[in-house]
Amino acid sequence: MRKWSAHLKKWFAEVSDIPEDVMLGVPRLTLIGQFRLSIENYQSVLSFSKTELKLALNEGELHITGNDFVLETILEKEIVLQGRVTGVRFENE
Amino acid sequence: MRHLLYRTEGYLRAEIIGAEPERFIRIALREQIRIWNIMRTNETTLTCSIALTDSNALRMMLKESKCRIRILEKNGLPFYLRKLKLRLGITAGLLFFMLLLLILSNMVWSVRIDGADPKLTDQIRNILRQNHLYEGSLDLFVPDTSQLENALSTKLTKVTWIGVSRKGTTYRINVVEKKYPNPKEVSGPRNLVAAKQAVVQRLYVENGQPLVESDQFVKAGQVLVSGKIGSDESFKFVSSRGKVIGETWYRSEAQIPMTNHYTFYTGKDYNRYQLKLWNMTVSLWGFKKQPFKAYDLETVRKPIRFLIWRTPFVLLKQQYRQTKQVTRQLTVAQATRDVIESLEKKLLDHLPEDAKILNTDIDDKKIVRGQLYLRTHQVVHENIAVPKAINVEKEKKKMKKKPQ
Repeated sequence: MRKWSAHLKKWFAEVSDIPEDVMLGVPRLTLIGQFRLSIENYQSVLSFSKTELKLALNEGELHITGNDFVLETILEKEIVLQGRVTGVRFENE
Repeated sequence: MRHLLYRTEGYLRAEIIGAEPERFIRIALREQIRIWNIMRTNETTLTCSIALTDSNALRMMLKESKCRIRILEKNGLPFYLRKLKLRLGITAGLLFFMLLLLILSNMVWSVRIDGADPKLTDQIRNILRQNHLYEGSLDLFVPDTSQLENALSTKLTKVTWIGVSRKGTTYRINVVEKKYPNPKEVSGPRNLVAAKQAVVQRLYVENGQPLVESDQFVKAGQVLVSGKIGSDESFKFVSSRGKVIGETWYRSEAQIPMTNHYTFYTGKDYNRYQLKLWNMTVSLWGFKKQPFKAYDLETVRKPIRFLIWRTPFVLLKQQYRQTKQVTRQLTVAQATRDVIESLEKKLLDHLPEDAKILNTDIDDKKIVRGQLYLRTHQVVHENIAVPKAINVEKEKKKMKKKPQ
């Protein structure tokens, strides 16, 4: 049932030209060069260190690796990370 | 830029220490307390900036997240203000000091009067005091130097020239006194002779031989009291002294207009103070645009000084003095009285101090083109005796020659 509604949403997003992240509640990542990464639509911060940021998403987790991380801004829907980003990885079990 | 807002509200830079400091971030997000610039310092510590909130809420959050807080910096306006409050004493002291310095810089420190004798100096100081100029007065209220010169020279008649100059905080008044040549005091053997032609009225002789009588007509230079006393055989010379009151006559004439236009001050005045900075002026006192219909305007500019410098601020004092125009039509009798009064005054100025005008006769009176023309003569009683030295040697020779 859930899968079915997700499919419908995806289809509607494609047809109606509304951005998918808005429709589906999936994260939107904006990476500027290697030094600034903004993530919208995240759930919560799981862990944060100089070299790693783990975020909980609606489905699964997002792991960001790099070095000299600073969380420049944290808002309820958006997070801005500064530092050298070397890897972005989704973890879905 | 976004964090500029927090500067005005105030924020903390703090370390969050705990087993899992991320919990604190989550709770802060839930409680909608802004945190930013988060850095991991080590395993158990996060460094972050936290917007200033109620300390109870913060304590609850820490308790819930099982973290401790260590404040590193307190930033923003509220903390700054508190710091300022603590230093209020110093700030106030500094301001007070600057104000004092400003006042002292604009004070008159010394008034120097050169070229006047002690009596005149005192008189000048009194007049200056009336014009707000004394040691310790504020320079801003002292009138212009030319005004001071005017005030002094109208009140002091014994002064030929008076100059007022200002250098820094010192006012210097230079005075040139009128110096009359001292009349040569003849103290040796002397006669008293007539200064002008007159009819002798009374003689008061203290020493010497009077040679004239009352009601006698004398010419200028005629000996009145001789300094040679005794008979022709045994005589001696004395310094004759005394007064000879003689009746003298003077002619004078004058003319005055019958209609006079006067402009006089009603005594009402209006002061306006303005502070000027380059081209901008701010009124400090007196906001009426035109206080009187007819007025004289006097403007005094006073640059405000600070220590040895001149600040761009200038204090302007504008004094409006109400004037009134009056036309006075004199009657012939009034005009005559005025003329005679002024003539007598003028005459007495030239005569010795104890001179008395007995009466003034009008010889001719006519009105020509609105002007009263008057010719008069005055009868005066005055001391006509002036001392004149006797040449003793010459006199002795003359006496020796005589018997031969």
